[in-house]
Amino acid sequence: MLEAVDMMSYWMTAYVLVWPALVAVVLSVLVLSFIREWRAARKEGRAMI
Amino acid sequence: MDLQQLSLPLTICLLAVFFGGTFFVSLQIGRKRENADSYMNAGSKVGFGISAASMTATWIWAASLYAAATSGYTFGISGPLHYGLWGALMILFIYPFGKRIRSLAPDAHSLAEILHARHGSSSQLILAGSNIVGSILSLVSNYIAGGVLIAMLTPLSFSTGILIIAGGVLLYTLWSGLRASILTDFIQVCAMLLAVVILVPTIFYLAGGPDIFRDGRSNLNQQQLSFFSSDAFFNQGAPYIAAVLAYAIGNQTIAQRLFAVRPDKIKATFVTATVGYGATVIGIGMLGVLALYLGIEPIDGDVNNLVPQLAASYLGAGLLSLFFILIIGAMASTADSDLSALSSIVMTDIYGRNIARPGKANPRLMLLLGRLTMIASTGLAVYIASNRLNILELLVLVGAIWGALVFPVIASFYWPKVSNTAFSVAVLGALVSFFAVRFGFVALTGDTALLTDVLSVIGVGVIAGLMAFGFWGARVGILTGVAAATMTAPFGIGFLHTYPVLTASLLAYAVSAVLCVGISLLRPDNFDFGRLARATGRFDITTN
Repeated sequence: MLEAVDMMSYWMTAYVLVWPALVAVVLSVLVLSFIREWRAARKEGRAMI
Repeated sequence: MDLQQLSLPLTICLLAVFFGGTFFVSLQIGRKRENADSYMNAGSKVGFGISAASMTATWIWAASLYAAATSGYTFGISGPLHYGLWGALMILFIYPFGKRIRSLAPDAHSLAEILHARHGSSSQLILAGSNIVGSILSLVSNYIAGGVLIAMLTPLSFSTGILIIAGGVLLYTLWSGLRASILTDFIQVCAMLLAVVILVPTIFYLAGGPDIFRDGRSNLNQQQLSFFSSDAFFNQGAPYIAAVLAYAIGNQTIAQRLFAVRPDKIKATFVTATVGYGATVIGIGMLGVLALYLGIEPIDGDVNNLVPQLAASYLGAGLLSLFFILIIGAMASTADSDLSALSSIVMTDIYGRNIARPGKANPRLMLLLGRLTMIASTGLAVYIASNRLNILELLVLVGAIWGALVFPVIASFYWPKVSNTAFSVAVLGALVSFFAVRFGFVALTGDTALLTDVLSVIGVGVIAGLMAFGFWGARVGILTGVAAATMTAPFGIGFLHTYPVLTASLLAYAVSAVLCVGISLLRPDNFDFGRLARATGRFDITTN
């Protein structure tokens, strides 16, 4: 019974923490894309927006 | 537990950095002679990074962060999923429709403008009017949330908080419109996402870490402990699916970004926003689950206080500042989107397509009207928010109009037989049935309950069918709709009317679909979709 509760705590911890990890992935995708597009715009001498 | 507060100098410093920084960024892209079309669609060639960030920032508003935590606190471990997951999936489900709409009218400024070209002024103004009311209400909600947050976490008052947020957002959005809105969205979303990455694990460990789930298990009932809680699905998830699909289709803030992004980046933008929104909102929703395990009672019994309360209980001044920026960023990014949406509706749908003679709209006058709209909308929203006027009925009204519009709007862009009569009668019929049930004008008993259950089952089929249709076409859409309705019927008939809020939403979908299809089948001729691109175009041919 105690083991089952510990396993539950383990999975619940993963369940809580997986979302900020996913947010970190999205954040890095957005920032890297922005930098790439900013460099391309600068190279071509045009405004990004 | 004592609540931490930010000092007055630190508060002023944070607000000055946030709004001063966004204003500085908007100055960098400011032009002496702004182009009227770019003011509304940012040139229609915005890249993936900024577009995806802007779509994510617009979809996340302060109320969604609070509501996800409330859902976690009320319904337990599945609660945040029933808020965040469905909201996220709706962004994904509407992107095929977005691609279709953009291909039909590449230079349009609003969805209502295309409806004007498709059906005429009446259907255009139904959508434009609902957008105006919807965006004003969204502004009010954001200003109220901002005022409450500032009053709780700082020495400043509620009214001062509203004025600072409203003034700050207007300051950086006024001159460059959507271009400023989406560029500052990028900065705001980076700050918001970074805050979630840091704050959720920090609060989790400071509140007790994994032991919370062992020690606090007795605070949850069986439904709250279940990942498959029927309570959570029928009270939160199911009504939300119906509502959020309507929001995604009807709201101009989403449509405006659809017309701004490079056409080849629409899919990538929507997919990234789906993941970004879902993970952020569900992540914040986990704070509500933690509060439930910890046995925390919300201040003044108001569950909207839960998130700031947790932050103020466990975080020091540094991380509390980061939390403050997270919520201010969520409010500002949605408020600037609403201001841009309001200005483009007045510029295009009221002046450009209805007041000015065809081809004679004056771009300078359009810009002036757009900026005056932003100022007037801010003033009105500040007045309503300061007086805390009840906006619940108005929110229900907007949700109902958008729910009634979903099927007729989508059908209008795919099926050439949909006529103005079919569109208008379908929307009005759906609204009448929605209000009759939503506000209890009709008692859901006996034969009436049976009828509403049958229609609700059809409504389930319509929603499922529309989602499948966007990705896989008419045949799969119809089959999915029929299958969903058939599977729902055995338990739904005799049961669904016991959830009147859900029933009212499903009725709007069913009645609008049945009337729209029925009347459209009577039309002998077909609409030429090629007319849409010709009738929706640029207003300003000067520098872009």
